[in-house]
Amino acid sequence: MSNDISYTDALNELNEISHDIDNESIPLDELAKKVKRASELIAICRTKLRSTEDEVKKIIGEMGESK
Amino acid sequence: MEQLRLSELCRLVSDALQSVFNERAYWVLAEIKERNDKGEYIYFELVEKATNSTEVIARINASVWRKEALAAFRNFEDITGKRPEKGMQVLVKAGVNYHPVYGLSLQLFDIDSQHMLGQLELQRIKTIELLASKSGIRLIDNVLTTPNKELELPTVIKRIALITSASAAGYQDFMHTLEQNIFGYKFSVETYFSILQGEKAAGQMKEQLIRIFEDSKIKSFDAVVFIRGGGAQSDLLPFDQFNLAHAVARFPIPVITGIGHLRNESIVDMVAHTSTKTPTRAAELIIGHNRSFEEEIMSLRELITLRTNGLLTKHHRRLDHISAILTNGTIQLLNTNENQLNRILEKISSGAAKLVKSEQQQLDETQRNFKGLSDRFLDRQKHRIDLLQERVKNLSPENVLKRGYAMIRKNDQLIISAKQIEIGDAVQIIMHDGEAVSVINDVKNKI
Repeated sequence: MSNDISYTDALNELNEISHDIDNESIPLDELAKKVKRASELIAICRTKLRSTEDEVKKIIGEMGESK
Repeated sequence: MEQLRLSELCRLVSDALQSVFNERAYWVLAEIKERNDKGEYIYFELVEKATNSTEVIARINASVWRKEALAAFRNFEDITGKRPEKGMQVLVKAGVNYHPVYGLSLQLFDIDSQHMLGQLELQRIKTIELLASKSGIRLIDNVLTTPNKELELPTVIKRIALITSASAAGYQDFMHTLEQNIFGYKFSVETYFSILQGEKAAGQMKEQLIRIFEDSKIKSFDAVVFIRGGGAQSDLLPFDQFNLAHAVARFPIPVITGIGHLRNESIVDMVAHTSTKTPTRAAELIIGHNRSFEEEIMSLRELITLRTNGLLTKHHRRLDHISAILTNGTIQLLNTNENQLNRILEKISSGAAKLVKSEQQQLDETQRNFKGLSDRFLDRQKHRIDLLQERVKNLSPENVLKRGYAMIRKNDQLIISAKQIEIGDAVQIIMHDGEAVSVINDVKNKI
């Protein structure tokens, strides 16, 4: 699995998985695999979100300083 | 030939003039050619020029030295805002003076401010109309529309070309206000000094404007600022001058004016991009202009920060939500599957029990059936055995002997074949109740 997936793609895939799980339309045989994938995707999304947040905070901070 | 001394001739002249003018005063229209102040007294050179020409057709010196006259001149300055100067057309009340040494001159008693005001106003109107006739300039409801006014001020004004006089108090006010601004804005001010009063002022200012235009090809200016000292009422005439006003109106860089004045605004004010009443106000306008840009930036920054945080929060929530759905959904799904398994298990176990029970019953029944069956079977067998025993019992040697049969033995050997005996053999005949011994007489074999 690659980390290169974009946030949007990851989120879309997550939505799909969660939708499938919510609908109970996932075969049990694949559940563990899907949940593992979902947890990886969530981790990726959280990491990306966090780093974006940090970056944005830094940039906003710099905007404040350059007054 | 009669000879006169010069002083006598001068006396004659003086007497002649005296008899004609006799202390009378006249209102005289004249142009000031020169002005000289000596102590309190004012000396003028007055001229009249031919219509539409620069040719001088009359010239005379004049002086103001009487108290009332000097007061009248000061009053004139207060009312018109103009100091009687070189180049001005004035209406003065004059008496003719003759002095043997200093010659013919006028003594001025009064100066007409109304005439001056009217003249100035006429001049102004003429200049404004002339401007309005030029391309790109229009006059609507006493407001001039000019190309300079249509220019847009740069978002931030930083590089300023300043036309002013080094000695103008307003110059200091302007620079001080600009440099001491509380926001800490830095300005780069290029100063183009010019005289601001007198007949050469307008020409010099225009020249500086041209220099600014030339320099702007390399330096680029955000705005041109005209600053003139406040303080005493002084001559605004250069700023009403056509050539300068026309140059300002058409100037390609926005012009801001801060030429302190109390009465009507000057024509330069009317054609400039933005006019303010004082040098300080001009500086404040520039600072305010920059400040509004900064405020815009700051509010944009706030908006961006707000929106960005909102967006990030939204994404956090979304992830949390998905995460919760996943967790709950997974647990749910696992539960469902477990329940399904449990149900199946239950079905299997209850089905199996049922099956075992029914087999057991069947087995029991079979067993029961089998027991009866086997009992009968055994009985039958027993019966048969009894019969067989009976029969066997009947077949025992004793019973056989009893029934009339006898056994023959030879030398304790049971004889069962005729070949075993020969004639003359002694044999033992055994019966059920005793024995006999006999000798064999004959032997016949059957085969």
